[in-house]
Amino acid sequence: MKRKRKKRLSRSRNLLTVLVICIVGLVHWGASSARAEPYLAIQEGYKCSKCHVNMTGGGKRTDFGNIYVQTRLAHKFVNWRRVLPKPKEDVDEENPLKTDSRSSFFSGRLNDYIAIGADFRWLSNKVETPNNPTEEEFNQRKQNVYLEANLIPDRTTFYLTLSDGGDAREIFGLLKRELKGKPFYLKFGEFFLPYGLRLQDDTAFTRAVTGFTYGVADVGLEFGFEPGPWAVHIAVTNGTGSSLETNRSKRLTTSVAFVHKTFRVGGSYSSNKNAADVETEIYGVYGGAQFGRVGILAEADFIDDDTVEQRVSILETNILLSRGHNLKFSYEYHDPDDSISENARERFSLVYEPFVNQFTQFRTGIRDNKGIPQNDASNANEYFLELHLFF
Amino acid sequence: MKRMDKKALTLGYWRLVLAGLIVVLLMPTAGRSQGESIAETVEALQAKVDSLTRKVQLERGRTVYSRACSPCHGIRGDGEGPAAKGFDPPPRNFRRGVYKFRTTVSGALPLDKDLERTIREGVPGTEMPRWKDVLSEHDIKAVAQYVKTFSPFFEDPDSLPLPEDILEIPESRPFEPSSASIAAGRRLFIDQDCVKCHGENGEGDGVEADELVDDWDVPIRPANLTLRHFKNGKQDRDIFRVFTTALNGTPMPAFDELTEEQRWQLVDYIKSLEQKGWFYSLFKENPNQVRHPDPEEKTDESGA
Repeated sequence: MKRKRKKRLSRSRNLLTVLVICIVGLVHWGASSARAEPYLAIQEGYKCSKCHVNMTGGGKRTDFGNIYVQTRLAHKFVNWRRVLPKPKEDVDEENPLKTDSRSSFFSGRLNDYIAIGADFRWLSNKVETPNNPTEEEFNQRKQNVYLEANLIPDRTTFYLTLSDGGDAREIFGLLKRELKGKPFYLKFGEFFLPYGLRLQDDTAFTRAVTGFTYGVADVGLEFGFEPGPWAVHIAVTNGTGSSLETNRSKRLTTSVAFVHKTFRVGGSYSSNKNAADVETEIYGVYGGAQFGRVGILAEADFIDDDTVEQRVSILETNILLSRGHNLKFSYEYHDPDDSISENARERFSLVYEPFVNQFTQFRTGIRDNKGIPQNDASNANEYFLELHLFF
Repeated sequence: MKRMDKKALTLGYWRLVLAGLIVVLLMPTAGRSQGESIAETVEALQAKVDSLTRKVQLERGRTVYSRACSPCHGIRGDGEGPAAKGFDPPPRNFRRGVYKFRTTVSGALPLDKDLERTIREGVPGTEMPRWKDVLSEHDIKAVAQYVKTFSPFFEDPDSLPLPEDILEIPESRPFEPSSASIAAGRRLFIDQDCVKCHGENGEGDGVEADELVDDWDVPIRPANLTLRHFKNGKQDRDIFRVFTTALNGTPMPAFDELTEEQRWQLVDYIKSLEQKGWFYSLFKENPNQVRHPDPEEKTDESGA
């Protein structure tokens, strides 16, 4: 009995070693970004922390997030154990241990303490720019592997994103507690800053122009308080996100949201001083509402860096065609200098996003850019197909 | 672990076979007292195998529960898992041993097949997903057994449903829905005071709707019967079952004093309230319902 147990333990250790080697290998091969999907949060009336370990969204999914994907989000749950033909001798209706005894459910949780996750995005992109040759490229910059260690379950978590390419890594500790039944947390380490709607698309104007993308993480401290329908996040960081670190001042980023089952409204603010003592203030409002299968989300931001004032906004509509199939229309606006008229640019997008099974999502769409005629790049048309593998 | 348990079971099985063989070989010559003693041994062996099987099943149930159920229902089964906050309705607290969806009389504990059915089909319109696509039938049964361990009532023989507490839900309806049965159902809907909670048009806006609380004084909303989802399933038989069994822990009573025919008439009326059309589909249908479609084929109580 003891020998068997030893053998089993050694087998588990070997398995764990292989797994760790696989993870490290994957990371060396190249890894980066998991993306949040705020439209799903609006559809379900969830806060970001419901489905993501990082309480402000993005990155590894929680156990509930994985359950949600596998049981409700994906068009189909592929139960590979049922797909494979059963050996005749295994079919025994009377003995449940012999027949149908295993499930294909996999949430990335290895045991009570350790859970892993991953995101891999492969992109095929075609860009047609006026007066320029058409560009086509394959791209796989978006690759991430996550490690979540619940040292004290639901209380103390260590979180690590191993990433490569253009995306920043996140590595932080998370201490969760409750104050009279109201949850709060303290996050310390390197993380994405809590600002606005954390859209999946980093090229969206509201993300790219404000600088709150998955390519920018900052080192510091974040406090979050989520009583009832409220979600309050305040981060104090070095400010390396958009300026050189001087240690003379810190960056303050905050976001407050009221989350209801069918709608949400929120506001964000960020202030940062760079090495030349130029202060950039970014502030905005965001929200969303769900009407049956139709969800709308919007965000408007103002960027003031003492010299230029910019305005940027997005309006997005998502239609849940059927389980696992989403159709997205979005309109974006960016005025790069409020003092100059008729220099704004716009972007229209039409995207179809099927979650074909519990681990696979496709995204395909067109983006039509409109800008001043002198700037060819701001009038380009983009066509893309993306394959997203995740767990 | 699984392989070892399997081996232990196989060992138990062979012990049983061996004991059976001994019984067969000794039967012609053995005296009455010897036979009885062998029978006792066989019985003891059988009990041992049963206990081992249950142990294996509970262990499997615990593993699956911790992965798939504890994020909402909590590792202690108290409905306070890390994801439970903000859910409306909140996840079930298994420690209370009170279950809405059963085939037993009002106030009684559910049967195993009732628990398995809820796990298998989920609860439409809530966060409870349909697990039959994801978990194997074996795992569903194991989780149901494990969930029972949270409440002491399932261990108490006096609390278990008696044979007369188990209700027979008819496999098929005795008559087809008609305008007459819908009209009769409407009269019953008013006479039985359903309107007080569910409202004149079944939209869950009756005069008492705002005052309703469950058995733990938590406010509870009556169902909006015009929506397409019914938590206990939307087949005629599912709705009939609710009228017959009541929903334990909620103000919804059993209408078992009504005749079977009257309960089917009520079913027809409830079904007639359902909103239809593209406008409903696009702008009013709950995304949760889109993701939790009705079973394509009618499944029987055992889930076969």
